[in-house]
Amino acid sequence: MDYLSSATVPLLLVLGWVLLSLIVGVMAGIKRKFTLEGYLVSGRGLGLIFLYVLMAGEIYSAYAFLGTGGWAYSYGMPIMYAIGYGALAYSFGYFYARYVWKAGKAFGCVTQADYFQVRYNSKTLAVIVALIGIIFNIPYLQLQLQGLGYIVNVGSLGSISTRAGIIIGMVIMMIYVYTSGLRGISWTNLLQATLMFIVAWAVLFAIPFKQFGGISELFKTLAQTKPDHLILHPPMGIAWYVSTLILSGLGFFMYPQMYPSIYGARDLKTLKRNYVLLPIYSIFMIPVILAGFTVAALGLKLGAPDEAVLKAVEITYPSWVLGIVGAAGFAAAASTASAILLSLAGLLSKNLYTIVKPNASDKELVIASRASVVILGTLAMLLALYTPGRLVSLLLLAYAGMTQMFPAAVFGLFWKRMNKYAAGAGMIAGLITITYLRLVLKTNPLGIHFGLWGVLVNVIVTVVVALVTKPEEEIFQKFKEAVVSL
Amino acid sequence: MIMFSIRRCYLMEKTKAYTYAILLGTIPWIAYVVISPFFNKAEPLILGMPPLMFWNTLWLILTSLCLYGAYKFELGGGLLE
Repeated sequence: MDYLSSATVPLLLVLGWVLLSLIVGVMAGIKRKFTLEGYLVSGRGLGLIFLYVLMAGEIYSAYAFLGTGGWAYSYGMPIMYAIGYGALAYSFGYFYARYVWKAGKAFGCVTQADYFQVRYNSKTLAVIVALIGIIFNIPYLQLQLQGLGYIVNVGSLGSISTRAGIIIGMVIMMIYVYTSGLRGISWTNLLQATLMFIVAWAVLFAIPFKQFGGISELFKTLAQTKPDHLILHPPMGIAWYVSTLILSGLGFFMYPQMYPSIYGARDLKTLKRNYVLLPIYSIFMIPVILAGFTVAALGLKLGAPDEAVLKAVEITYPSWVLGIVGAAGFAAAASTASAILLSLAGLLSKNLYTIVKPNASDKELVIASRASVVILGTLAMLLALYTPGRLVSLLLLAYAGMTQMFPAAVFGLFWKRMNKYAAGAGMIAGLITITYLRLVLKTNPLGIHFGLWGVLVNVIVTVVVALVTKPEEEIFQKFKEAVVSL
Repeated sequence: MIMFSIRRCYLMEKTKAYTYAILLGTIPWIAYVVISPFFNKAEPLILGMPPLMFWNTLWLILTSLCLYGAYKFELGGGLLE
């Protein structure tokens, strides 16, 4: 009984937050009749605040809380790549998003694959892009759910089981994404991004002060207990750090959920202001990292590195505070997972379903998108419940895999010789390279991230194929006039 | 003919603004990819943080400033209409 009563407050905090998300998400769209554009990209009408919380929320996942702290705890400084690549990605995205947004506006794109289709005028390429997106992101969605289940379990002091957490989380998300589409996600992310930010600064940031009396004292202790944590060293040395920064910075905008949020922007000014402000949001990773370092400096042994941040909270605060962190963990996972879910549903309906039924009406595509939300959500939920860990090899490849779209996405903007053959051949060559390095050879040659080797092979193949095949200049000119010209 | 040269002038302004904006956008890449590895030392602690952590955190703020500069150039060049 004692245990139950101490778990009541955290349980209510977590469930209360989940319920609030559901209400806000459903209210955002319940009375609307959605067109496909309204459903998948919020009618291209998002203003600065909604765009900002949408992107900030979808970028920082359960991993931002669990994984980042876990890395700081077990490896130390290599986690600094996570601070750097966001800034790199935004300074690339600041420019790249312009073209994506204009293509969306000019040709009515609503998914990532649509962007490739209008540039290369190829349904087959769009199908390849859609398939790559779905195959690599289903396991990513599953991972978010597992993180969500775990964090809700710890946050509620064990009164919600991990499996129950996974089911509650996914069902709630499916309901509000089904009802309100991107509009629902942007409304719920207003809650989620705010809570994540508050928890990081109000709860986590105080941890090193409470444990050691300050940040310097934390690192002075760490220098004695774990001196290796303060520097990068092989196998995660400088070559690894720099190559991971580059790979992650470039790969960021190749994820399918980035595209609907870019299309969703009201105008170019709003879109660009959003990227000016996003690096500031990333500073919230610092308190998370400090919490991980705290657990390392105290010399605590954990069952799994991902427990680090929750452990730091547990030893510093009264137990009910874990309830707030549990809610924030739900916020982090749900804001990312719901955006992935909707973007994959878009790929499945707009780019794959239309192969079966090319003349599907707008209304029918909205129904197909909603059905896809339910199908993909249920699939990810079943995977998370019954085969956790089964798709690890796909996850290891996911980031490197998505990055293989980079040459096709970027060379196509400026190089008139780029055509669908070069784009497709490059992507496939890159995918084969990373699969071979990661799953067969199992090392990073020269300490450089295997994904970057994939990009290298990809670029070479892309350029060679573009030079030997016939350029499709008409397609490029049409795209250039509408999208690239200043 | 006059119309044509006005248009060209206008385009040159735009290209120039875009070039400056892109130059500003490359600065964070240099700060992280080229310079930050030199901060891979255990000491001295700056604002309590090891050098690499300090540098990477500082540049989150400076990246925002660089992109704000890029935004101003693009806005001035009429690129955001």
